[in-house]
Amino acid sequence: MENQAARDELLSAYLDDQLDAEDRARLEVQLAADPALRSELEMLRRAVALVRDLSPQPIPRNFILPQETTPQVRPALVARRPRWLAPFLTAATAAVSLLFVAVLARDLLFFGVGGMTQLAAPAPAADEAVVGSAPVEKAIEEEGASQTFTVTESPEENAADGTRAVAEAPLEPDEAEGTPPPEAATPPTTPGGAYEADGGEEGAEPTLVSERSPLPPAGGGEPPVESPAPTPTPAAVEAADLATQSDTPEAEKSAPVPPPEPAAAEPTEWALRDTEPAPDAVGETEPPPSDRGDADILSHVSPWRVAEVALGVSALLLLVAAFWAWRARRR
Amino acid sequence: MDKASLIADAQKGKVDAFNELVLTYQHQVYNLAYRIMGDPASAADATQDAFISAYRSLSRFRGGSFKSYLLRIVTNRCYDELRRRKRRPATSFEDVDIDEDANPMLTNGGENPEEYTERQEVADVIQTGIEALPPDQRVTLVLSDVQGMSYQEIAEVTEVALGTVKSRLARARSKLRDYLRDNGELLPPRYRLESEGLG
Repeated sequence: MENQAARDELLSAYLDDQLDAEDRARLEVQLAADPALRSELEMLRRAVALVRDLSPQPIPRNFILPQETTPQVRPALVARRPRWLAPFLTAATAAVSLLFVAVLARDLLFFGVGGMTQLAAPAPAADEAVVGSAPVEKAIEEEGASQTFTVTESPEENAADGTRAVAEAPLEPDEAEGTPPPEAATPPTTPGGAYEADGGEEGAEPTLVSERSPLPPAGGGEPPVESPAPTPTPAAVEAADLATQSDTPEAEKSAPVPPPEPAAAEPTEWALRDTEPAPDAVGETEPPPSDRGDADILSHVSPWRVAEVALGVSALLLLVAAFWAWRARRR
Repeated sequence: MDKASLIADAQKGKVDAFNELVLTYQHQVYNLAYRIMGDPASAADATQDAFISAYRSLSRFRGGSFKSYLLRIVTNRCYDELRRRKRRPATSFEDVDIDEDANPMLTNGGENPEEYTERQEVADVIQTGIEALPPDQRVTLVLSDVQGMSYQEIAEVTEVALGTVKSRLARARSKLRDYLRDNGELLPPRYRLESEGLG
């Protein structure tokens, strides 16, 4: 069978004059000696001649294209697009996605949701209070100075505690006047502190300041301006706010001169942390600097959180780019 | 205007320039499709699709033989259609009733009816023998012996090696020879392969 195929190939190439001189001479010697091979070659020659003599078929119509036919692919775009772009973008997407998942998993597993913000800030309590105060600020700006701390859960609880503590304050006047208990050293830092600090620039400030003015003599016995404390903390401001709350008519009935310290009677964990670096801030009511803006807030956002957001956005953009590159490559 | 300029203009999206090329090559493209497909309607469809595809993918043409580029596209169209037919066999109505007498282009001028009938019988037998070949051998045989292309050109159109072209063509010719020899009674005596002195 192989001999037959090889012989057919030789005869076919011989008909087309495609054999080199040596093969051609050898075949012609065989043809001269073998009548069957000669007959086979002649039948092949006649078969090929019949095919070559086939009349060309007339075309049934012209195949010109209509004018509205448009090219499908823009040549410049095809020529410019590198072949490695799609695999590169795919690999980059995978790498960035893995990094994003790793950072996210680290955040969630070791610190829980939102735990990152407690880690990295240099002045965590104060900064978080400032950051967390954003919704409160907004609500208060909208509703005016008479708004109480009932916007978010945390301020609500603190305000309630503060009010209750203020109401109970007259029962322990000595404690308020003398050395305060450790937990009262620093009032809890709540968004209310930031509220007052930022709200000082709003129209609500006069009301708040006027309500706060009688507080210092009642609480620490010293006016806030003369306070020796180097840096007033938002926690101290919160104490002042809570004391201001106590100036409502109900509070005035039960305690005409409420001391501010009991406002911090139930300090939170982060308030205790804040106590350590500034133990002298007892009874401080001086408001924090009011020039704290959004840029300051953003500067204290955890870098891990920034990295998470950046990686997530990058992975998304790379995914879209890789999808586009693969689709363009298949055209 | 020469072909290179027409191709360049067509690549810029000028349909008129491409239609000039269509008018130049449509006979060859259609005849190749007809010999591969075996019926005029399928050949016309394959030819039209090939020209549209060729125009739309003209940006991929990087020079060389434009005829080979067109024949490669129509060959691939025919392959696709043959594969589709193999999956879903169907009878073409156009293939059944062709009133050749109504079309004067189907007869050669000066040919008497007997000669025309005889030539048509031979063409039908050969076409049947061609269609009996495997597609790759069929295409190679048509490109070589109907279109008159060289081995190198066939290799470019079919995108195979030169040795593959030689072996495919040899097998195709051998099978067609055997078919015509075995069905010699279908041919007029003067067209039979085994005439006196050869059998």
